[in-house]
Amino acid sequence: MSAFKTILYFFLLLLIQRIILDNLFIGEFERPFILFVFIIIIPNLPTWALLLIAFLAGLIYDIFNNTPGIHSFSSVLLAFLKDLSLPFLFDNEDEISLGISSKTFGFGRFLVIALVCSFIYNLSVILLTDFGITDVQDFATRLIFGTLSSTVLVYVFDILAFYRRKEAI
Amino acid sequence: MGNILYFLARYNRIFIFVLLEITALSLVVSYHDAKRKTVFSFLNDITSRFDSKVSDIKYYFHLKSTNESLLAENARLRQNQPNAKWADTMRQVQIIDTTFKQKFTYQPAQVINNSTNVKNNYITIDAGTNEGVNSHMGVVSTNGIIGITRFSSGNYATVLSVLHKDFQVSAQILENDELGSVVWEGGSPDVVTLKDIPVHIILKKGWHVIVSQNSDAFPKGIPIGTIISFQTNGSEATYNVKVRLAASIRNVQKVYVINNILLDEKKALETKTLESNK
Repeated sequence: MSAFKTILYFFLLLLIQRIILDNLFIGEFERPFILFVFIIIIPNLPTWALLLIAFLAGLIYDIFNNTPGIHSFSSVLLAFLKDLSLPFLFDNEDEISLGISSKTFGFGRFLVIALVCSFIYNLSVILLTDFGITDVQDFATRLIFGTLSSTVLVYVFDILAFYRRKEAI
Repeated sequence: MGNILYFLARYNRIFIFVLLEITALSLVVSYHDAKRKTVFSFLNDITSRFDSKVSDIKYYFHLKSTNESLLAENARLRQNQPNAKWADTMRQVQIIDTTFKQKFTYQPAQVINNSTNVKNNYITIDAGTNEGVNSHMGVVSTNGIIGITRFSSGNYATVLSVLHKDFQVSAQILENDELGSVVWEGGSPDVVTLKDIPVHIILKKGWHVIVSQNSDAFPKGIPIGTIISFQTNGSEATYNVKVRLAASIRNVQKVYVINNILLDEKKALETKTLESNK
């Protein structure tokens, strides 16, 4: 994926998050975050570049959302963990450049990765928003709901991209 | 020296990671310190302009309900006009009234960004210091209370909505003048909690809760909502009263920012009194 395309993806995700998802009302639950999909689909870069881009992406959303630091922290954390785990996810080092998608991993394995990423991201956001755990039940429902809804979004986004790739072939 | 450079190069990913995380965390912490101004004040104008465009589009979908609430308010105001009342006596006395002077001024504004689905909700409005909007001013809609302004830039201001854990307003039950305070404990964005009502007071569902005279930011009598349920709070001597908000924060489009002209004078006097006690 070219650098230009990546930036385009980021702004597309930012628009979706800001115009649609932030206006969703789903009871008392945390709204789903799609922005961290960007960290997952971002191509294989040098570590410093990946971390810096993740920080900037989180910061831009933070500015819109009036939550300084919360999403920057979470996206840098996710990017760092992604960078650490990449060599273990792929059997073959040459495949790393393919990036994470259902195409390279198959739907089942991709689901697990999406769930884990979504869990880490939501956990970090909720902990930083509340500054710790005050109400365990409330915390758990928000975490579970946030994780699941974000995972569904990752999947929808991946399927859309997948079919587009298929047509291109 | 060479060793240090080698060490840095070897573990550069850890260093960058830690550096960025500390930066992000310090942002989180500095924002939580309520005394400081918002970190991104210089960027808020840019993001607000974007939100303003989105809001312009959304506004069209709410034209009908906005119109209806304006009509309802107009009807209420017309009822209070002198020409809507009749005198039951023939005697007329003319008084030149110099008692009343302006205490509250109202500045209309449009909501351009609004959240109700997180723990601490904010609203952004398109009136700022240029329109005389500063922090700690009351914000109401045509139906009732909405929040209190937090920060303001040139053309925009953020409002701490009723649905925020730091929001608290002194309230009063219209039917029996009992005083309490209204807070939001999370959950439904239409329901707030009225606290500090002693259990020996008789309450009824459907009674109205209004802003009391103790509030600095709001004039007395602004509607907050109606009582939908109340229960005793275990061993405590006060009720836990659930109040349905009169104004739906989710759909609010047009608001008024209320400026209390005498607030500075009152605050100065209160501070002086507190200091004289020390």
